[in-house]
Amino acid sequence: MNNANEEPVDIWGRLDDLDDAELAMLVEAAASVIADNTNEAGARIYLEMPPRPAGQILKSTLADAGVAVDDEEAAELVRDEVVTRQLAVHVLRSLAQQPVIAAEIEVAYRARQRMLVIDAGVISAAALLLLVLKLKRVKIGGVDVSFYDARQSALDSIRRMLGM
Amino acid sequence: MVVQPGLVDDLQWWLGSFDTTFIEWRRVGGPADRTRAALSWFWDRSEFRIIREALALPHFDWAEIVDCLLALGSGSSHEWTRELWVEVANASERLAERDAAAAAIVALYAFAAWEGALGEDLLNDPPDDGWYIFPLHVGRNLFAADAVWTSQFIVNRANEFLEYASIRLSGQHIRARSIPYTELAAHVARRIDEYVADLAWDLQVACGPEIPNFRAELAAMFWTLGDVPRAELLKDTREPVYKPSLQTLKELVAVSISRIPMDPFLQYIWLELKDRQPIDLRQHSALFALINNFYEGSSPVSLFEVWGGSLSKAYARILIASMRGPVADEDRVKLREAWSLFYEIIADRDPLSEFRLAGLCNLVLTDDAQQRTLIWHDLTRVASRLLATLTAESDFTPYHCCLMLPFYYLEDQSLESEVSAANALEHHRSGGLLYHLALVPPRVRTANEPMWNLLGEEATLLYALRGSHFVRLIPHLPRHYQVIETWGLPGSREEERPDNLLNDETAKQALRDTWTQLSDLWARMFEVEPDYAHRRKYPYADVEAFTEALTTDEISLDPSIAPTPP
Amino acid sequence: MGTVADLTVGALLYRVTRHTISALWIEPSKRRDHVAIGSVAAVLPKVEELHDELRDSMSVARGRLPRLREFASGWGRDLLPQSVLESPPDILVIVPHGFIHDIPLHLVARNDDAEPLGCASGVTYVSSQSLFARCVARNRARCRQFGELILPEQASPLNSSNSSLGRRLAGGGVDVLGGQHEKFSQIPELVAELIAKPSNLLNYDALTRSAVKNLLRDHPDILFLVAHGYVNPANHELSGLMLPEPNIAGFTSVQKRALVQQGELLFAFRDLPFAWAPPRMRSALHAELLTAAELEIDVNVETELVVLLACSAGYGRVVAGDKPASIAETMLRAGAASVLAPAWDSDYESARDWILAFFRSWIEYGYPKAIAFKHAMQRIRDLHGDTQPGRLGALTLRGDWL
Repeated sequence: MNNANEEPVDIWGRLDDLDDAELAMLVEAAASVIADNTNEAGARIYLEMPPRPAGQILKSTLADAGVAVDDEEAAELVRDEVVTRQLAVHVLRSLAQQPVIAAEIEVAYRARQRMLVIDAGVISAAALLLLVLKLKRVKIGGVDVSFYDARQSALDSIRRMLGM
Repeated sequence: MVVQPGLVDDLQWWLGSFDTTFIEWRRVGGPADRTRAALSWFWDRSEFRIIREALALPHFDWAEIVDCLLALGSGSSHEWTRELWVEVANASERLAERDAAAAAIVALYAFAAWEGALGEDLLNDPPDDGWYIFPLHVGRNLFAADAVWTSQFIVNRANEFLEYASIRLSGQHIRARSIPYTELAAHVARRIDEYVADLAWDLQVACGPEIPNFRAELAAMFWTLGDVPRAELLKDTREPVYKPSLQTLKELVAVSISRIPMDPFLQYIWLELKDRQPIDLRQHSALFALINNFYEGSSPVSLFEVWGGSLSKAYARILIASMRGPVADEDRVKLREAWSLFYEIIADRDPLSEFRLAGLCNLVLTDDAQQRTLIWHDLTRVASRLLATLTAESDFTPYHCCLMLPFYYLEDQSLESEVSAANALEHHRSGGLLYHLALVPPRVRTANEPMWNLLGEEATLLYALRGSHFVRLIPHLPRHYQVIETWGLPGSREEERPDNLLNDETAKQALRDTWTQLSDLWARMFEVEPDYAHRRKYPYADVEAFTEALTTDEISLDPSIAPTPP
Repeated sequence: MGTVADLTVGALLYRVTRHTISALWIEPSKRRDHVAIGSVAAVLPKVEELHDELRDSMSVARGRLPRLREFASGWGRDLLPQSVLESPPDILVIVPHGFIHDIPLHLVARNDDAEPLGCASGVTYVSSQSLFARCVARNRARCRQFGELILPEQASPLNSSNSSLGRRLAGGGVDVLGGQHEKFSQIPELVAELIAKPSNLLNYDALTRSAVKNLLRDHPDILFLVAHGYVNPANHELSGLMLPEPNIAGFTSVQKRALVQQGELLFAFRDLPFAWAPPRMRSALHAELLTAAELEIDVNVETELVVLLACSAGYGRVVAGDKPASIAETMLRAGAASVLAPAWDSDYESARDWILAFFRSWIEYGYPKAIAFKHAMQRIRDLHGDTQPGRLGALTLRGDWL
């Protein structure tokens, strides 16, 4: 939390150092921005999808992308705290390379920080992961933002985690 | 020294009753192959040879495991070697990487041996170091094995004990060492929330218009919980169909889980979803174990049999049928018979079941619309009396909105009916507010000595009301209130044991007596200050009284000169 | 200048049946009218979607509230009688029922220029007619005849006859989860600057359960607490505010409770919490809960206004007796005449500006609380226009309007 009179602390340069509460909020901000800027009807459904169906959809989505995981591995990708943190950081790092979406995410994050209640939430990377894997692109302020790199980064991460 | 088993007895009961992997283990007698292999591998280790030989490990048969645990827990089994059992407990968490169920059982053995070794000293001050080791490993391994309910049980018991110890001993160090329990409790709570969300998600999918669906079953659940508008929307299958929001369904699941152990009618509606499409309830194993459990003595209704089956099952099936369409004549006959039998045998021993059954009978059996409306009106009065009684008795059983049911059927749409219905609804609300409306009196408007004296009497009675309300709340409070310490005050009898002072039945009688005394007092107040007395004796504000209150400018005494309670 | 006696006061008593929503409209003239509001089938799904949106703090933070806007300018208007929209009374008391609880009717746009109802009428909510009558009967502001309570001109400072109702403030702020105690304490401190009498604001680490109960026993006129709330899903009596554990080792403070079976003898218990705060992975301070049950047993709340700023304060599931299980409602039941609490999360600056506008109108200018509520909404609307309905309508007034 920064004092209103100070410069806001950089978030993109210290993704690995963000504590779980900050990272959870950044993941939530990213998922919210993406879901709001896509023409895909029903994208927001991923934001409230609980772990079990999220794991099932993730499994089939990864299969379509050539990454075969079983039910247990899919559940670990959405539930395991260490795994979800790593995945979240990889995806966010890719998104940070695109100034337009990075700026929008940061605006959302700062707005959320200014709320009276900042709950120490848990990192729920499943929604962000599914959005990035399923959507090809979004348009923010008239600018096309592609998820190709973020998608590849996520898939590479998952392959490494699962020892593929 | 041989002592009675304590926690370990509770643990094995929880495990075999509420957590699927172990329920299955108990049912078939033995574990899955993977668990067998893990247990064999663990007990083959040379460092545990002594224990293996002393207890003839590994055990696979559930009954054998329980016998051994109980023997260990009673301290009668063998020599206690603390360091070795600590090693077993620590090693069990590494075993969880192979097989979590095996790890949980191993940790349980260590826990039981520790409990048996300490015996009556288990709950001494300061807490034995084992409190930071054995229950924690059990809790963690159970969580890893997805045995969330037993994990939650042991974590809560350990946490409560250590919290209480930290209070008694001013022990910040105890608090610091308890942090792993707090973290584990948070993990367990989050996992349970996820399970609730998973089931809610599937239920939402099952609310679609496609056949098969569970719209009628969900309608029956909402109706049973008093939410008639949602039940009616789910009954309606015309497009566009209503699907409850995910949050609404999460609340339904959460309320159901809390009520099922005491609410067989609700339980049997859930059981109608078992082994049927479109969702596989068994896949939600943690919640299914709760739903599918047998809760002996949960209510008189749970043992009531009719037509060779349970009344609860009949209630569920007929209610669900009524949510689909007209009920078959055969079921109408059964319901009529069930109601007669119920009324004869159970009736006021289970007022909530009686109330719901009466509502179902009215829905299904009363053909004349006018008669049906009259009965709904009667049931609103029954609901209000029931709520007022529960409130006056400081009954903390969560009834949620179950008693709201008949109010949704007061459908006459005229000004006179609207006022009458508003008054009926407010009567119900004021029954639920009885305690609060009594406890916080209005300001007085006149000042005279007789009134001061009566107000002093009232204040004393209200103090007594609070005290009895507190005693009735104690079973719901943390451990530090289960073991009350009383300190001597002038006039108190120090030799009194807390048990005598804090008896629930005595508190119930004390509440009844206090309410009677208050009623008598307010009657006496009529002679001195009728307006105040009226507002005390009849705190319910109908539409007329409410309208007056909107713009009343009748003043009360300045707070600085009004009497205040002791 | 007029007096409080000149204010027009109306009320809406909602009622939900299995298919329909209706209301009893009590006009300022006391004439009653039955109003058919609409169908459950048309309204309930939208209410659920609206609640989902308002519980999403990220959407609220970003101002992405399409459902709230649709409500305010569209279907929300159908929930109010036309006469209320066209010619709202000075004060409107709303008694919801069932799923109508927690709908922000004060945000409904009255007309084409989208002025919210709450900017034209001082709106207060209450869950029960009897509770309202009790709030009125306990309000210490009602020790003066209405005719003596002068309504000042907008630009005039406080009239001396109103200012004799000098009020005392007590409370404080503590963030047991995030550790942002300074931020939580700032708003009550700013309000204290508006109060003539010395305030009793505690440091964050002193704002314990026992301390708050002691504050209440001193019968402050205003209790201002900024703290996290927790709603117990199984038993709302054990819901409450998350406050820090006392530093004093051993929990030595004592609470006397009467056990009537022993006659008049009082027994002293250690003042221990009725419930622990829910387990969390991380929190800045070890917390305990000041529960509704504890307030009801140990304290007589004589406070004119309780302000609760933090999560879970102003909304809650409806439980037995059509009671909203919110901490705000708990305070009303415990004896407060009025409560101000948010129905959803709000950004810090908006909450601060709103509160200060409310207190200036109520304390400095001497307006009734519901009128001060209206002024606060007007002020925030002037600052942000109608582009931020989430900021405008987060705070709600409950209980007595005076």
